[in-house]
Amino acid sequence: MKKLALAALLTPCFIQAQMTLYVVGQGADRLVSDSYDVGTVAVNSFVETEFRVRNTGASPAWLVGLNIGGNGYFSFAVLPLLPLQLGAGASVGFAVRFFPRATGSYLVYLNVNGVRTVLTGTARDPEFPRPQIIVTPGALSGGTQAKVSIRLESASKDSGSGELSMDFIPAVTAPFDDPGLLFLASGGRKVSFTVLAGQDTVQFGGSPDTEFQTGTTAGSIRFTARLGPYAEELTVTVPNSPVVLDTARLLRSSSGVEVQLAGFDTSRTACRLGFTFFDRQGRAVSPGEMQIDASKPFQDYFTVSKFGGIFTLRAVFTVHGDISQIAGVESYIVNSFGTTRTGRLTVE
Amino acid sequence: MKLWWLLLVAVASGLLAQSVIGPPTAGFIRCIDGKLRPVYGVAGNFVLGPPIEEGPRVRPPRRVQTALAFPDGARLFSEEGDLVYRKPDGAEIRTMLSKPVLYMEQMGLRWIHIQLEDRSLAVRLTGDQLEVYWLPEAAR
Repeated sequence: MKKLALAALLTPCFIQAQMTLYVVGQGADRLVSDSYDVGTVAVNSFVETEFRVRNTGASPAWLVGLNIGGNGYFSFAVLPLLPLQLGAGASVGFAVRFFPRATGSYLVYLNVNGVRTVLTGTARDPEFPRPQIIVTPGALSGGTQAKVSIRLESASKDSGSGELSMDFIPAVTAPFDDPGLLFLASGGRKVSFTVLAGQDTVQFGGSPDTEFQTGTTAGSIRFTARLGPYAEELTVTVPNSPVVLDTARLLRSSSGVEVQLAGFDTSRTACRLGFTFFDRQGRAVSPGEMQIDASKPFQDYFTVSKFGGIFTLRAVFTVHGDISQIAGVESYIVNSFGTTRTGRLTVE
Repeated sequence: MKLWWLLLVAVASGLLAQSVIGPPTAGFIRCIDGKLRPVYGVAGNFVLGPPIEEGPRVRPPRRVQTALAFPDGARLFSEEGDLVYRKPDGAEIRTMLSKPVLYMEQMGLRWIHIQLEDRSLAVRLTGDQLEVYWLPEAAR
C-alpha cells in the first residue's frame, strides 16, 4: 500500500522527466536545454520556430500542458490538442510565432508539462528600399482618373506597410481646395500599401497600382510615400486649360429653350458665353450670335462652390414666335486660356 | 412658303437672370452600407456627397438587380467577368470587370451605378462607347 502511494506521488515528476524539447532544424532535431533564441526579426514581421516534444522515456506518458507566458509577441502558430498521450519514443510538433510590434529584446517562458524553457527574440526596425512614385500617365490634365504606383529601389528585405498621401497646392491665388482630388479606393487623400519581402513593387489592396482623380482645379499635386525612414515626394501638375465640357444639351419647353452645359474650368476664369440658335432650315435665328458677359456669375459661383472647378450652366431663353422652329444651337464658353465650342446641338 | 416669325429674347442681363450656375449632379447611389448618397461631378471627376439622413433608410432591394433593360431593347449585364452592353441588333460592347457585380441601378439621367464586391463604378453610354469610371468610396 505504501509502495502504491509513493508511485502515485512520483508519477507527475516522472512524466515531466520523460518529455524532452527539440527544435526542428535542417536535417535533424536539436535538443533545447533551458533557453532558445528564435532570432532577430523586423518589427511587424514574424518568424516561426518549429519545436518537437518527444517522450524519451520507456513507457507512454501524457503531454498535458503547453503554454507561453509573456507579452503577446510570442504565440503558438501550431498547437496540438491536449492532453495527448505519447508512446515511448513518440513525439508531437508545435510552432511558436514571434511577431513583435516594437523594437527591442524580448523573453518569454515556454512551459511544457510545467517545465520552463526561456525563449528569446529580438526585434529590429524593418529595412525597406527607397520608394519611387510613378504616376501614369506622366502628363496629367483636369478631370482625369489616373494611376499611381510605387516601385522600390531594390527587392525589399522585409515585409511591412506604408502610406501614400496627396496634397494639393492650387495655382489660383485664392485658397481653393478641390474635393475631387482623391484616391478612389479610399475616398480620401491617404491610402495605405503593403510591401512584401523579396518584391520591388508595393501592393494597394492586392493591386500594383491605385487610381486617383486629378480634380478640376489647376495646381500641383504632391504625392508623399512614407515607408520606414523614407518620405519620398513627387509633384505633378494639373494645368490651366480652356473649359472642358462633358455634356451639352438643348431642351425645348412651352415658352422657350434651355441650353445646359456641364463641365469644368481648371482656371476658374470663365467669363464669356456665346449662343447662336438655328431654325429647321439651318438659318441663324435673330438676333444671331448672342454674347453674354458671365464673369460675375461664374466668379460668384466659384467663390462659394465646394466642388472644385466643376459647374453646370442652365441658360434659359425666352422665345417669341413658333418655338418648334428652334432646331439647334451652337454655343461657346471662354475663359482666360481659350474658347471651348459645343458644335451644333440639336433639340433633345 | 410658310411665313413665321421667331425671336429669341436674350439680352445679357435677361439671360443670366433666368439662368443658373451650380454643381453638376451625376445622380444618387445606394452605397453598399445601404445609405443613399448624391454624386456630384462630371466624367472622370466625381465627388460623393454626405448620406441623405432624412427619410427611410434605403435598403437593398429584395431582388438584387444585376442587369438593366433599356426602352430600346438594349441590355446591360455582367457575363464571365465582363460588363456587356448588348444592343437590340445583338452587337455587343464589352469591358472587363475586376470583381463580380453585386447590383446595378440607374443613378441619374445618363449614369448607371454598378456596385462590385469591393468598389463602385459609374458607367454611361456615349454613342458606341461604354464609358466606365471608378466612383470614390465613401471616406471612412
